[in-house]
Amino acid sequence: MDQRDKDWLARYRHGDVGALGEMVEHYRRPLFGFILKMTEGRDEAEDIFQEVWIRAIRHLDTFEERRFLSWLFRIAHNLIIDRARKKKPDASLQDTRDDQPALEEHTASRAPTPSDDAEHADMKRQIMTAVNRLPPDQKAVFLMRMDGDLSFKEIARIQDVSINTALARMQYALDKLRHDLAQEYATLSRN
Amino acid sequence: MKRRNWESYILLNDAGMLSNRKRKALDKAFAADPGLREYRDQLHWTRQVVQPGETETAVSEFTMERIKAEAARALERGVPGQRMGFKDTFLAQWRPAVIYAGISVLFLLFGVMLIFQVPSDPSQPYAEAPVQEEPVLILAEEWDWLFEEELMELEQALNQLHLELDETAWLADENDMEEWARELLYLEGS
Repeated sequence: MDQRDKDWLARYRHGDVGALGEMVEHYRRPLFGFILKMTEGRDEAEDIFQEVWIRAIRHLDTFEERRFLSWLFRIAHNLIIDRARKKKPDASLQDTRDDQPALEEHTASRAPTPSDDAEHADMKRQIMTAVNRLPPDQKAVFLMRMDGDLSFKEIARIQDVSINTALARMQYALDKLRHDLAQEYATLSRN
Repeated sequence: MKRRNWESYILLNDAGMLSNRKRKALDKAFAADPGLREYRDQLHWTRQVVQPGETETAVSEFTMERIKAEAARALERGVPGQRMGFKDTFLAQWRPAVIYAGISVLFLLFGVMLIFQVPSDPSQPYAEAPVQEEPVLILAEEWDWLFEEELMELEQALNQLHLELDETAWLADENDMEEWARELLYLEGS
């Protein structure tokens, strides 16, 4: 386990709730970013984010993975699948992407940061639209790799597949994105 | 190697999962194939664009507070543990038994040491303590010489005394009978 995670957990176990707060804040960006892109709206994403941490806190004794973030992603991934199944018992995660307004809306409605310009924001919207069209398994691999910076080994473990399968899903995802965004990528290459 | 495999290498390298040897091979492939460099650049660019911004991933204060409240409740219920190794689990669950077993073994060893002497040479097996025969023999000789003779003398003295007593008793009896006879004759008037 990462030394920083160890320190946070040790402090928390000694009664320092603030240490857990620091941990939540530290992992908020990759974890919530992933959940936000995999779900149907900010409210649901916050529900899942909260549930992920509550489950993590309650099951700290079962934590045995190398990286805490990887464990959080695993919990989040399972919760997202469970929710998708509850909504449509006969459906897989795949069915949620057609009625998913989330990503473009999240991206479009967010406040611009100083580093963002209109072109960059537009590019991002287009990529997110393309990402949302990916099959859920490929989308999950793509986002876990891009947002969470998880290794293919960690992703494979979360999805309960081989490393080769995880790698292949990433390749297919990138193939589709490059196909859908050929014009944007060509512009990028020219620049 | 097929282009597809080189793309796999690029993805693995991006995840830090490529060996040095394969990384060197990939570097050579980059130099030879601009298409691979383009693939790599697009991957990096996509990552930069896709990664969520700070504002985008802001979580409401309400959610953060609920997580912290749950963390505090979990602490009140008892410190959330961490999975212990076999050694820790064993010691935690069996510590009293281990202590009692240890004490029992010590007592047992002490008992064995009382019965058997530990040889000075550890390589030698345990043996019964050697019997100190010579002092016992000396004692036996002392017994023979000192006490046996005295006992015999005492026995002889006792026998002598006994004979004398019997003799006295016999004489005393005879005198008494003569006395009693005279008394009877006197009473009969003869």
